[in-house]
Amino acid sequence: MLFLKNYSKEYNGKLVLKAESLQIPEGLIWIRGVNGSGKSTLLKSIAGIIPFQGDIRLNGISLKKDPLAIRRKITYAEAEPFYPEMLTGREIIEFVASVRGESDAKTWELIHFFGVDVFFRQACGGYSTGMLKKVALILAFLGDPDLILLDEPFAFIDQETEEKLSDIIKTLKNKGKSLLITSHHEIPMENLSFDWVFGIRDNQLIRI
Amino acid sequence: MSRLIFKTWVWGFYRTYAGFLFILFLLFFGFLKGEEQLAIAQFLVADIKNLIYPALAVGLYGILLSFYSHHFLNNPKNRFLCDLIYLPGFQRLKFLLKGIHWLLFPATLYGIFLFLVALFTGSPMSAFLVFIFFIILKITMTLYFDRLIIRPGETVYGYAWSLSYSLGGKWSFTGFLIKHLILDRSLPLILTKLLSFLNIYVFSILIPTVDYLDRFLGIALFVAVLSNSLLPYEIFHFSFRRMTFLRNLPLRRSFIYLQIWVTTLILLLPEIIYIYRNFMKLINPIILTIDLVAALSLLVFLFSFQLIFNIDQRRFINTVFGILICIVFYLLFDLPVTILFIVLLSSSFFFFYSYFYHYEPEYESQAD
Repeated sequence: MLFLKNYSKEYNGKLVLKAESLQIPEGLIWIRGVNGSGKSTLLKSIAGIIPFQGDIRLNGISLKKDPLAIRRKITYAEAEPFYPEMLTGREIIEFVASVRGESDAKTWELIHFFGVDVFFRQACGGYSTGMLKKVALILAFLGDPDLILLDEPFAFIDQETEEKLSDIIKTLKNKGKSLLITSHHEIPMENLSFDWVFGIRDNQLIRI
Repeated sequence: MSRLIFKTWVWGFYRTYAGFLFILFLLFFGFLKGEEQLAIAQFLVADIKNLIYPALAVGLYGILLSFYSHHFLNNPKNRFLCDLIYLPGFQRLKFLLKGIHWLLFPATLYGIFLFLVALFTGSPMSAFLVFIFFIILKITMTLYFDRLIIRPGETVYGYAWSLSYSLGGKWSFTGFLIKHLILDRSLPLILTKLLSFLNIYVFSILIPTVDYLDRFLGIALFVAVLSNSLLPYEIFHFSFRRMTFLRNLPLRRSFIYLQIWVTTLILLLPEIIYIYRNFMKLINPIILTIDLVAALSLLVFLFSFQLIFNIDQRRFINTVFGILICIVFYLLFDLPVTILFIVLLSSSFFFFYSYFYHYEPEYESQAD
């Protein structure tokens, strides 16, 4: 599915992450690594929102050559999401659902599933980190992506949402979707049967 | 969808540059009479060569908008707007064009004014060129914004830090700052200089119509400073914060202050030479020098201001406009420039000296 060729990412001349030639297969994938190891950087690179050296290919299509084709097939939920303070969660969800051509029924199903309808008419400026995280997770599941990137999805959310999130991940996996998850949390990850686990050691992305 | 773009992108731009637009409005509609505005427009459309001035000004507005949009879309808060890529190509471009129409609204209004003046004063070629210019500008901006949405992380500059460390000696900090601003931040510097010279040039065109030359020159100088007001911000945020080792060196605060002063002087040297060459015969050189030192002191004062408050760019720009509006009114009431000069120079030094060790730089995390 994903192929990283001569991939490297530097910040101010300091190498953060590299992978000379690495294949990431389809399925449910866990990227492990300590804080600051470059997990989020990898996901942002795959999502096409930060520049990097080398190339990333999704099903043979180069992210550098055809970013539009790739980015339409990937959704991404950030570890610590932020949204404009003056907008409501509902406005953001409706905007994303509308541009991705998502049906109202599925959008509302996700809204109810994560319990966002309780607060989503309020402006985002008043949201807690957990509330923002729920909005970000809904956005990641909207549309029909081939690959879903979830950065620390179990951070900041309550136990009930953790269980719901695990369920939705399992359902999507059974539907044949690929999910790439980063986390240093062990407990919730044990509920999910990962197809592949990757790790970051000495700034190098490797298969464990 | 349009409402959401309007609430975030469009209003965000006008909020950020409210002070800048207010100053333009004040200068144009407060300082000039209606017939003078018409005379300037007639001068601009009389010869197609003269159209280069409004083209340059609107072009700079467009570049300012491009920088803002690049920054805006790279802000994680607004990244969800990049989901516009899911729309089919034509629909996406149409949507962006609508946003650009509102973002370029003040420039478009002036373009319509110029177009009408050209049409009614018998300059159809100028009218046609104004029309074509705005069409090209809007198409270019639409394609650029489309690229920003597709490739949001694309960076504009490379870093040149290593070069600065090769400099040695007591004046390395000055060398570092100048090299950094010229090499690393070259594009904002070029834009700053273009805007600065455009401001001075516009003022020099207006000189024959002005009775109080001293006051007029004072305002012209402070407008030149306004164009350069982001330089202290650049020095502070992109150089000074990373020079934390300075506090461990046996350099006295006053010496570092002097280096920042010299850096500012060197960076404003092109404008200073231009102003001296063009205004020397018209005005007392002592008054001219006091004006210049006061204007430079204001830039250093803004640097010291950052040491105390360490505010973000939007608040910094608003503060600069606030200070400059006070200064323009001070000069309009013919109050002595010497007092302004003493206050600015002494306060810039006092704040720098007092807050140099109080300031603690923040370190941003780069990777998770």
